[in-house]
Amino acid sequence: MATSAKTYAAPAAATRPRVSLSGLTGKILFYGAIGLFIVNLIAMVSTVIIDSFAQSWFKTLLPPAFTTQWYSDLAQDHNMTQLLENTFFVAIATTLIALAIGFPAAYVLARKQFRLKGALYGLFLLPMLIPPLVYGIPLATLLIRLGLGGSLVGIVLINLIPITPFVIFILTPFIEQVDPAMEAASRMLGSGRFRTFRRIVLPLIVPGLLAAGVLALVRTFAAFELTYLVATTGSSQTLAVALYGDASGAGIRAHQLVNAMAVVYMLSTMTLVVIALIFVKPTQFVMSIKNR
Amino acid sequence: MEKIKKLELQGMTRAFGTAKALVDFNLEIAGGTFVSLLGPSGCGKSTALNCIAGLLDLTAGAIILNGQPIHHIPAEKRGIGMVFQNYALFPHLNVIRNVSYGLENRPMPRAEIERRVRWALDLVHLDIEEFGHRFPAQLSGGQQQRLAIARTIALEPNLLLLDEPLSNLDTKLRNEMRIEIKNMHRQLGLTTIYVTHDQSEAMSLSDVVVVMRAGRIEQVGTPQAIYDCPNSLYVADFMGYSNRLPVQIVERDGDEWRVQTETGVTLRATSTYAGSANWQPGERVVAVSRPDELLAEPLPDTNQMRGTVHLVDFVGKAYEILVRLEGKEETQLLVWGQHPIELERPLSFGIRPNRLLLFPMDDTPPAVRVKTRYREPAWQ
Amino acid sequence: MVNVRRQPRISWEALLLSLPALLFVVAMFILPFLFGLNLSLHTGLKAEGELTLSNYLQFFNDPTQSDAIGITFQVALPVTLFSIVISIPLAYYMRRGIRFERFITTLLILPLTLGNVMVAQSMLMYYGRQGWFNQALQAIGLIKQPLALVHNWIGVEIALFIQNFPFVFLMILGYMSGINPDLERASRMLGASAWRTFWRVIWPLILPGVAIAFCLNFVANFTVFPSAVLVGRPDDLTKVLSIVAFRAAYEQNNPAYGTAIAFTMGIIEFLVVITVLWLRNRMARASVLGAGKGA
Repeated sequence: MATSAKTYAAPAAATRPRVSLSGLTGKILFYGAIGLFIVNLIAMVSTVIIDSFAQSWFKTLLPPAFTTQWYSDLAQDHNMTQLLENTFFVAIATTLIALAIGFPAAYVLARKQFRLKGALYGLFLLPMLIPPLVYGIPLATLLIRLGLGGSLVGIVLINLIPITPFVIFILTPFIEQVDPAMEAASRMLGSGRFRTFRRIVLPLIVPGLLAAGVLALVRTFAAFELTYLVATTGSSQTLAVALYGDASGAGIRAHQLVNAMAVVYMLSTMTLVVIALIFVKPTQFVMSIKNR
Repeated sequence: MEKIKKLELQGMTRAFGTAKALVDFNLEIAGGTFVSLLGPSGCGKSTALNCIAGLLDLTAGAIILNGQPIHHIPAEKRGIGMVFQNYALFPHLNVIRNVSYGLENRPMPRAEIERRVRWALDLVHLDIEEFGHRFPAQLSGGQQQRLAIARTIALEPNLLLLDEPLSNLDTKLRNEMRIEIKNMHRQLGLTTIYVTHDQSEAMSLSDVVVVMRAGRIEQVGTPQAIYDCPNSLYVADFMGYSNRLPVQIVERDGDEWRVQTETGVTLRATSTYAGSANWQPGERVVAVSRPDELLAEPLPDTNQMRGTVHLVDFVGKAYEILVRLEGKEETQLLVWGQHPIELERPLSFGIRPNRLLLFPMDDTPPAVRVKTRYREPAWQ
Repeated sequence: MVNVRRQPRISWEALLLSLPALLFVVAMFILPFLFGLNLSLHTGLKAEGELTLSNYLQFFNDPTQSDAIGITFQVALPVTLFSIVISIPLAYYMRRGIRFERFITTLLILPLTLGNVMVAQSMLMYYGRQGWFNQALQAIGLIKQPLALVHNWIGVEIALFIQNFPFVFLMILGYMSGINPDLERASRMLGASAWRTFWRVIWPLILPGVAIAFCLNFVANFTVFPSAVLVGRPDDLTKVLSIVAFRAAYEQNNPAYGTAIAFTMGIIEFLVVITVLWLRNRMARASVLGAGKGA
C-alpha cells in the first residue's frame, strides 16, 4: 500500500502543468479570485464593526470620531440578556432533542438492512430538500393556532424539522465507520447488547455525536427564517430575529445602532464557530446531503 | 468452560430471504479436533462459522454441544471464542484492556483477571511490559493478530472459531503465524474450527478438512484423503488437479478403467467418484491429474502420451512445462520435468494409473457463487 | 431436526429505534404539510367548505402578485449559474489538493456562519454609495460615479452569492476530487490535451454532481427572503415569492393565501429540478455517444 501512495506522488508532479504561462496564469487567477472574495468578506465585516463605534461616518475612509454610545443605547433598547438566553436555550434544546431522536434513527440507517430502508431514508431527506419557507408558513400557522406562536417551545419545534435530519445524516457515516465486527467481537467475549453498546459502540461514536451536536448548535443559533415565522417580536425573540427587526425597521434606527447589534450577534456566532472548529472540519459545515 | 467431548452440527441451514447461504450442514466433531472449512468465497463457510458462533440464527437445524442443544442460546452466553478476519480489536482500549475485556464480563477477582491476561499474552508471545499499554493502532499486523487470539484465549473457551485470520498477512508472517496456531492447538488441545480459502493452510493445520461448495458440504476427510482422493471435480480442481483431459470409457478392468483420448491414445485410470460404478463403455468423462504427477520422464508401465513443448516455467522444485497434446493442439497440459527443454520440441510424458482420476464431464466449474447480496453485515 | 424461528420480515428493532424520529417527521412535517395543503385549498380562515383552487387562481390572475415569479427567477437564476460556472474552474484547480486548503475552506465557511441578516447588513455598509467598495473603485479610477449595488436586485444577488457560493463550491470540489486521478493520467497518455481531458473525461463524471449542486443552489436562491428585504427593494424590484407569501400570511392575515403562494413557489422549484435532472440525463447520454471511442 505504501508503494502505491508513492507512485501517485511522483507522476502528479510530472503531469501537473509545469511552471509555464498557463500554469502561472491559473495560479494567479485562482488565488486572485479566492483572495478577492475573502478580502471583500473581511472588509464587509470590518465596516460593520467600525461603524458601530462611529459617531458619524460619511464618504471618508474612516469615521472621524469614535464612541461607544451605540452599545449603551443598545443595552437600553433590547434586553440583551434575554435575547442571549433565548437564543442559547433554543439552540441547545433543539440540538439535544435532535440528537436524542436522531441517533437511534441514524443507527438503524447505518446498521440495519430492511425492506423499507430506502423509504425511511427518503422521508428523512424531505425536510432537507424542501426549502424552509415552503413548509414553514403552513407549519408556523399550525403552531400559532395551537397557541405556540411566540413561545420558545414553538421555536424549538419548528427548528427541529430541518435539524433532526441534518443530525441523522451527519451521524450515519460516523456509525458506519465503526466496524460491525467489533460489536460481534464484543458479543463473543460475553457482553450483551447493552454492555456492547455502552463500552464499545458509544465511545467510538462520541466524535460523531460531538460533531453533529456542535454543527446543529451553530446552525440553530444563527437560524432565522423558521424562527421568524413563529416569533417575530416579543419576549421570545432570538438574536437573529432581533437583528432583522432592527435592520428592517427602515429609517427608524440609526445604522450605527443596527451595526452594534450586528456586532454582538456576530461575536456570539463567531465564538460558537471557533469552538465548533475544535471538533469538526470546515467542510463538515456544508455537508448536508451526501449523494447516495 | 467444560471441555468439548462432542460437537454435533445437525442439518444446519441458513437462508437470507430466498437465498440459501448454508444448506443441510451435517458434521460431528470430536473434542480437541482441528477442523477446517475450505472453499472459495461465497461457499458458505463463513456463514457456517457465524451460525456456530450464534451471530446468525439458524433457519433450520440444530447445534448440540456435549448432548446439550445450544442453538437457542445467544452468542454472548455460548462461551465460544472467535477471531475475526480483520481482528476487530477495540481501538480505544489498550492491549491489556482488550484482553481483559471479556474477563471483566465475569465475576472474577481483579487478581485473577490480571493473571489470565498475563498468561494469554505470554502464550501469544506478546511481551506485556513492552506492549501492554500500547493501542492496537500502534501494533504491527502480526502483533494485532496475536492480540486478537490472546483476547479470545484468555476466556478459556471450549471452542475456538477462526475466520480467515491469516488472509491479511504477508507470506512470511502467514507462515510464522501458521506455526504458532498449530503450536497453540497442540498446547491447549482446544477444539478449533478454522475457515479459509487457502488449501495449503487447511492441509497443514487440520485434522479434518471440510470442503464446501455453494452452501453445502462437498467432501469431508483428513488432509491426506482429500488430497489423494477428491471425490468430485470441484474438490479435485480446488486441490490443484489442474490438468483436464476429455476421454471416453472403453471398458472396466478390475480396479482400473481403460479410457481413450480424443486422439486415440489408450490410457489406464482410476476413479474416486461415487457414481463411477454406473459408467458404461462409450461414456464421456474427464481425466484429471496434478502437474507434479504428470511427469516428463515417465516410468515404464505407466501411461504414455506425447506432445509439443509450448512454454517452460521454472517453479523451484522442477520445470513446469506447458505441453500441447499431439493430435489435438487445443488441449494443453502442465507437466513437471527435472530438466529444462527447448520450445517446440516433442515431449513424452506419463502418469501412474492410480493418479489419473476420472470424473463425470458435466460437473459445473468450481467457484460457483451463491448470490451474495446479503454479504455485509454477516451478522445482525 | 429442530426448527428454529424464521428470520422476521420486519425488523422490530429497527422500527423501534427509528420510531421517535419517524413519528417526529410525520407529525411535524408530513401532517403540517397536508394541513397546509388543505388550508391552501380553502378560502377564509376556517378552512371549511369545499375545496377550491381560488387561492391559486387569485394569485395567478393578479399580475402584481404573479409577477413575483418572474422577479424571483430573475434574481435566482443568474446567481445560480454564476456560482456553478465559477465553482468549476476553481474546484478544478484545487482538485488534487493545494497548500492552503484548510485555511481557504475555513475562511469560506465564514459567511455561512454569519447568517443572512449579518451579511445583508454588512453589505449595506460596504457596497453602499459611500461604502468602501465604491470608494476604492473610484480611487483607482475604475468608475466615476458610485455604483448602485444595494437596494436592487444586484444587491440581492450579491448577498445570495456570498452566502451560498461556499456551499456550492465545496460540493463541487468534493465531486471533483472524487475523480480518480489515474483517469486523467490515462487520458493524457492517450494523447488528449488538458482541455480535451476536461471535456471528455472530467465533465461527464462530475455532471451528475453539478446537476445536483445546481438544483440545491437554485432552490436555496429561489426562496430568498431576508436578503431580498434588507438589500433589495421588496416592494417592486425584488418582490420575490417568499416576500409575497409572507405578506399574505402575516400582514394580510390570510394564511390560506400565503400557504398557496408558498406551495406555488415549491412547485415551481420542483419543476425546475425535474427539468435540470432530465437535461442532465440527456447530456450524459449525448456525451457518451458523442465520445466516439468512449469516455
